[in-house]
Amino acid sequence: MYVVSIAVLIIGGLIAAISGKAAGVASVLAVAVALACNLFISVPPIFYNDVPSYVLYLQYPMGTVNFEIDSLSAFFLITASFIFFVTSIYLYGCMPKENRKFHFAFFDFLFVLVILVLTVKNSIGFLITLELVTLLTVFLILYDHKSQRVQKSAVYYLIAMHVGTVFLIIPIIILINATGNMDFSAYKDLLASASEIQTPLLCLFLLGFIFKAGFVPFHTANTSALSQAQPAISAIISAVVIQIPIYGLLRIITLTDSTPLFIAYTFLLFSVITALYAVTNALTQKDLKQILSYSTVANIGITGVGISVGLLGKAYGKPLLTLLGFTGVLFHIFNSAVFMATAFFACGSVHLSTGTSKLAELGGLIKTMPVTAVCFLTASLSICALPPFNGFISEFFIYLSLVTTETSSSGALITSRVIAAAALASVGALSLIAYVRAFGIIFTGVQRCQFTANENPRSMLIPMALLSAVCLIVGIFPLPVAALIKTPAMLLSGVSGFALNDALMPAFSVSKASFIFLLFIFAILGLKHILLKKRTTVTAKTWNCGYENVSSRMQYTASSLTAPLINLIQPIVAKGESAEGVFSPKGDEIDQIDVEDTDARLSTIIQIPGVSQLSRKDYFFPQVQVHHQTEHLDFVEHYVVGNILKAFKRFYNLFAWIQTGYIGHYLFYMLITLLVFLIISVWRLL
Amino acid sequence: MTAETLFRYLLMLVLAVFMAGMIVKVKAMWAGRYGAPLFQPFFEIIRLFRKSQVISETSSMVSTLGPTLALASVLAAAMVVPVGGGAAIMSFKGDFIFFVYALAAARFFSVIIALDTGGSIGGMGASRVVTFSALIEPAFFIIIASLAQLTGKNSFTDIYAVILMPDTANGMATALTGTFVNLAQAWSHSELLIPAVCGNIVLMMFILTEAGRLPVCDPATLSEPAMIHGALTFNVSGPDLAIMNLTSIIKISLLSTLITGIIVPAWVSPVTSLFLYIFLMSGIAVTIGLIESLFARLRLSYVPQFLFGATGIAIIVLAVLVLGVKK
Repeated sequence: MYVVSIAVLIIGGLIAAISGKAAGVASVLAVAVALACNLFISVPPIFYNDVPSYVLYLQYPMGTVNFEIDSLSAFFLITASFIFFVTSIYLYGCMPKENRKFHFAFFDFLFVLVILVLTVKNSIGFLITLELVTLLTVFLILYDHKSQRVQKSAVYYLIAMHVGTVFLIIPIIILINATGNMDFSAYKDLLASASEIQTPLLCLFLLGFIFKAGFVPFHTANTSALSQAQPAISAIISAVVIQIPIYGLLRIITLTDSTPLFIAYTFLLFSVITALYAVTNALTQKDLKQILSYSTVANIGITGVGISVGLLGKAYGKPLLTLLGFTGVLFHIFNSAVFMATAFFACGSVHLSTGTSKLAELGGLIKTMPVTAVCFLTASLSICALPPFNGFISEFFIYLSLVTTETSSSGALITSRVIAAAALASVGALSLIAYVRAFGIIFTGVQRCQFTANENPRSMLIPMALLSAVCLIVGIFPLPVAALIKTPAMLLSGVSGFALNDALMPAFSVSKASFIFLLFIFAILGLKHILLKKRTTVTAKTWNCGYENVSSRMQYTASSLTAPLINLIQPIVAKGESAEGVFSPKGDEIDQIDVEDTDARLSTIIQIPGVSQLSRKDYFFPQVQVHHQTEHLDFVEHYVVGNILKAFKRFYNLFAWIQTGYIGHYLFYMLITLLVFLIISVWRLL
Repeated sequence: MTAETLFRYLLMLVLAVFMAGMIVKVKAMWAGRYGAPLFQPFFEIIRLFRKSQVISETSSMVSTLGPTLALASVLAAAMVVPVGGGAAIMSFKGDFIFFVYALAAARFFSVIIALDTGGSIGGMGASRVVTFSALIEPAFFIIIASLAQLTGKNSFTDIYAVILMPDTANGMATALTGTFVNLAQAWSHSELLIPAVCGNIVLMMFILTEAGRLPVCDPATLSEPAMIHGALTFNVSGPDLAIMNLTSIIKISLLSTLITGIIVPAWVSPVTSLFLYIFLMSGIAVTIGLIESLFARLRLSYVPQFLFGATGIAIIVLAVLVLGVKK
């Protein structure tokens, strides 16, 4: 079945690439078949703990490559397949009529590689497939390849992911040298318990994976890719591609018995900072895509909190902590995949219908696009972890791992967990602001700009509605997902089944409480219905303290909604300014500056060419029209990463004189290099 | 769920209306007036339920469904609160997380109603509600998580059972009940007295913020820059307004019940405990009324300092916990 799913996907991708018209259909069908196959092969490892394996014989350097579908792989495989299937339908619906056959082909090939990377048990094979996943993701990001911003972020993503791989290559090479084996299972002896070699290896693995997963301060590549890609692709990146490094990290954790304490604590610190920083940035963004991409990073941080509590539990020998931590992590991986995909789909739907995703231009869409609005509301409620939606279940377990009481705990363990719980509470409250803002500004109120918004075709709405339904159903009946995560949680924590059943018990109570919650809603609705049955409801203008002439421009804006909070946390969010549409005193347009360009976004009016010579008083007379706007920038992206990149540029500029542009000079360099090698080898012979 | 817990639950809801009346009464008496009858808020709600609705022409299904969802969230949150030394309707491991997030859901729904009308005033209130709640929520979590660690229990009912039972774990209970029974004994356990007092102060600040009372916000004012909660219900009328008002007064009752939970001793008979509970709830209502009579509303830019103060007090509890563990 495993081979069938891969073969069908490759064939589907090839058909999509060859045939123009049937590309979408071929891709959707191939993904559907692959989904069925993957579900089928995931049953034995998850329910019977029976691991199917496949062996591939390759040429000399690789040797035999093992593919195994253990419960961890199976869990990720199911999540990824489900998201791929839903996205493929959505992609089919939102793709304009233009010829995009390669896009569908790349989509199918990405699915193949995701299956491979999740199942391969060979370390080098893992690295290769991981890199190929990055490469195909870049191809998919480049959908809108003519836009400079898209090109820039795709290249940035590619480079950042490669740099992350460097950290992974080093420990894997060390391990291969030490064991002479490429299989992950062979590294168990070296990684299992505390030794001289375990700590640096784990540090490198951790660094590599958190780099790739996009923990702060390494998040900028992911956020720029997520906000520039087509929303369907962003959904895939957010729900599947970013989770692959997390899978890698969990795979390494299955090989260890315990980790050094400082690694667990450092990771906890990183995760908490990631969640807090990302959610703070999410609530300052002015574009829905940006909000969602920062939210993705915040969710990765929350997952990280769960993983680090699991590690702490292992290190201190507290099985309950380990179990709750990893249960929360697995729940969150599934749930965040579902709700982030829903949110990105809704964002794509808004973007396709109105042509923009900027908060300041949208408004009142709930009347014209009700299905999208309800789906986005569901996703928002899930992302804010509000009951009775699925986000609550997973964050509930992560909270539980933070507040649950254990006998004879150390002070450091208790304090760090209580503080992490308080930080997580802040994250929850802040993401509530971000999503109240996003939903409130985009979908409620009155339209802010002139455009006609219509609901999109059903092929886009059905996947979205399906995922929203999953959000609600998993929130109320978490049992099916709990069944999925049982065996992988056992594999990760090394704790037996009975303890696990005990740890999962609160899920049933939560589901009961959520169910009663729903009953309350229906009861009150029924009461209201009975009360209002014989009365007439009158419609009137919005009451605005007696002011009659309410216009759409009087609505509260996205920026003013969060202004009080941003003023409080000013140092974290840097302020940037930009200007566009600058007119000369004579009235003819002299310079339309490109606000797409990040450097220009940072520049103030005075630095804009053509304006600098204007005197100050010109601003106050109608000859000059400057559309000026301020925005909040990602502190890390613009100051930390920006300065590091500038430093690199300066360093490389030192060697710029080598590159003269004359062929003769380059041949001369080659000659010198060969001579140097010749001399060295002669020297060694002597 | 037994008949008794259900009775206690309903009592808490009824007391919510009573407390609202009590607060108004105290304020009136302090100002030298006789004041409206104690059950005036109850009559108000009945009156609103009997009216028909006027809705804004810009509003959508958010406005129609929002109040219902907000009330349902608060009622769901109320299920896990143990009333007056008894058990809650539902009690499970980590139920306080459910409590906090159900209240957050109520906030989400009431805030998007305000944004739905397309006016400028709703947004102002919405902005303040979410900002202030974001600042106070960590404090509440620190208190609850510390109490959980101190008592070794993971649900409201269990935590309170430990706190209230004399001669159980940690000796905390003796200290706490002692606060009221035997002050001298309480002072001998001063390191456990501190979390109790600080916890109650933070809970009180949490009530004032969540319910939008003075000094954070003046519920009686209609002047635009002063409003927080009034702005949210600006375009809501009829039964929906009744539901919104109920939501906000039930919130006060819920959080006050949490305070009384730390105080009512468990060794008294159930009937006595209920009377004690009603007495303490009235006490809290009187306190809120007195605060509203005596304090001026804080300037909005000073509210965050008030809320950070709550976090500071919560951190004291955490410090006590850590020092206690080190011993």
